[in-house]
Amino acid sequence: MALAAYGKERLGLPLVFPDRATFKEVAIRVGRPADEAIRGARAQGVHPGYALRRDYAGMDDALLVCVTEKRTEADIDRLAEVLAA
Amino acid sequence: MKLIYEKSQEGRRASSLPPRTLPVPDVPEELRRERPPRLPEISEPELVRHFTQLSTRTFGVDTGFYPLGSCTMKHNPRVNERVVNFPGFRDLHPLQEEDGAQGALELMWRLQEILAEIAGLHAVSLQPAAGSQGELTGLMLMRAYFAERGESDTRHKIVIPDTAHGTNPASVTMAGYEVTPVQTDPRGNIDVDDLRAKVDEHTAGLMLTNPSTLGLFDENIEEITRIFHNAGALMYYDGANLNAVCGISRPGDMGFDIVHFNLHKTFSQPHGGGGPGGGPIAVRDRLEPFLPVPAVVRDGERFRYDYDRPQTIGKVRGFAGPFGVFVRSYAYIRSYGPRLREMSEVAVLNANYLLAQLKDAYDLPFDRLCMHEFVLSARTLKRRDGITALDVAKRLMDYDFHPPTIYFPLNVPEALMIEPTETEAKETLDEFVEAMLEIVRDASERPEVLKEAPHDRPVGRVDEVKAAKRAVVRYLFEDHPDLSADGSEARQLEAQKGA
Repeated sequence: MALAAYGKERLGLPLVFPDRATFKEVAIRVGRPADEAIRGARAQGVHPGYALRRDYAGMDDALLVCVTEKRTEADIDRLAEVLAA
Repeated sequence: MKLIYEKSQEGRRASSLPPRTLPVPDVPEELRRERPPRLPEISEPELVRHFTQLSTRTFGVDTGFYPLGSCTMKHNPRVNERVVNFPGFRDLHPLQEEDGAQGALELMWRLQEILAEIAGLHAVSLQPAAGSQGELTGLMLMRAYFAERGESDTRHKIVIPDTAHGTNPASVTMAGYEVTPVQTDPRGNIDVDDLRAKVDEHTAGLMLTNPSTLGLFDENIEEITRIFHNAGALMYYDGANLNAVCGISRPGDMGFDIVHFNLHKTFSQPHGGGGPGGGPIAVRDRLEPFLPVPAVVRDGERFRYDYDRPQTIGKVRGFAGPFGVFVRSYAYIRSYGPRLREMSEVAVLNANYLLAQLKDAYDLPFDRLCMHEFVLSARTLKRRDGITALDVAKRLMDYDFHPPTIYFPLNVPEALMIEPTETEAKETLDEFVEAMLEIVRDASERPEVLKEAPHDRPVGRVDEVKAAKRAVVRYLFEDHPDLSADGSEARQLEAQKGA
C-alpha cells in the first residue's frame, strides 16, 4: 500500500477515480490508448499494468497499475520513466 | 498432535517484511476491519516443524506403493517441476496480452494437438478442471448438439453401465439428463442384449470407461458403437482409465464422439489432496462448434485465443484452464515422444504380473487378462474367516502400502481394485504380492491381527460415515475463545506495522 501510494504520486497521471480510496493498485489515465502504452513500456522491459478497456467500455486510456511488496521505489521510478516516454 | 491454532502465541511471527521508509497511507475508517483476522501466530522453526510433521503423517506416492485402482498414482517425474518453474511459465499472469504469452499459447496449442491425436478425435478444449467437470462439459456439448438438431425434448436418457465411476451418474443428473443403467455380462463386458433393449430415439448417449473399472477392455465395443450411432445417439468416453491404451487404441477409432482426459492420472500431474487436476475434452468435428471458449488457435506463426464461436456453450473455468497442469503434462508426454505406447504397455504388464500371482489366493470375478488394473474379491475370505475387503486394505497399511480402491465397482462384492501403474519396480510388486498372500494366511491363522489393523498409524479406523457426512475441515473458531478479544487495539497497531 505504501508503494502504491508512492506510485500514485510519482507517476503524476490523472486518476480514473480520484475521489476513491486505493489499496495496492490504482487506475490511471495514460493520455493515449493503454494498449499502446503497454506495448511501449514492454519494449523497455517493464509490464506497466492491465488495459481496463478489456473489461469496460470507454476506458481506452485507462491502465490499472498494481504494486506488490516485491517492488521497490526504484521500480516505481522506472515505471514513471517508461510511461512518460 | 496439536493444531497450528493451538500452537499460536500472540505476537509471534515467522517472517518479517523489509523495512520501509515510505508512509503507509490511511485507510478510511469505514473500510477497516474491526479486529485483525484470527490467523495462527507462530515462529518460523515451529512453522516448519508443524508442517513437516504433518507431511510425515501423510502417505503419498513419494513415500510408498500406491495401487489405488482407477486413480493412476504413478511417479511424477521431477523434471516436470523444473519445466513448470521456468520463469516464463511460472511468472506469467493469466491476463497477459496474447503477444506477451506466445510461448504459453503455443504450449497449449501443441497440447491440444497431441491430445486430439491420442484420442483419435478432431478438436480439444483444455478448460475443464478435472475429469468430473470434463464429464459435465461433455454432456453440455451433447445438449447443445441435440438442441441445434431440434431433438432436445425427445432425447433425455444417458446409458451408463453398472461398473461406471460414480461421477458418471452424478454428471448426468447435473446436466439434466436421466440415467439408464445397463448390466455387465458374465465376461465383464456391457450386456449387449440388455443394451439393445434400452437404446432408442429417446437416448442422448452412452458414458463408458474402456477399459472398464473392472480393468477389462470391452470386447463388443464396435457393436456398442453401432447400436448408439444407429439410434442417432452420441458416445462419451470417460478417460479415467486411458493409461491402459495410449498409443495402442484410440477412443475416436472405437467410435466415441467425446473424450475427457485426466491429466493428473495419465499424464503425471501430481494429484491427491484435492488437486489441482486437469480434465481436457476432445470431440469429433460435428461437436467442435459447441466447445467452450476461448479455444487456442494458430494463425501462421502466431497463437491466439479464439472467442468467435457463436454456438459455444461458454466458459466452464476461469481463464484458460489450469496452466501449470498443462506444462507438466506436455513435458511428460514429450519426454516419451513416439514411445508413449510403452507407458501403457508396461502399465498393463505390471497389472497382469500382479493378477497372475494373486488370482488363486483371492476370488477373481472375471477371469481374463486385464488391462492396467484388475478387481479381486475378498468374498471367500469374508465367508470363511470373517475378513473383509476393508480388513485387507487396513492391514496393507502395516506393510507400508497404500490400500487399493475397495468396495468398487459396485457389482463385485468385497471388491479390491488394484492399479500398480508402469512406474513400479518388479521388487515392489513382489513385496506387495507377498503382503497380500501373507494376509490370506493370517486370515485363517490369526484373524485378530487383521481386524485390529492398522497397528502403527496415527489414525486407525475412522467412523467413515461421520467422516464423510460431518467432515470438519476448518478450525471451529466458535468453539474456541477469541485470543484477540483482549488488547485488540495493540494488535491492530502491530498488524499495521506489518503492512
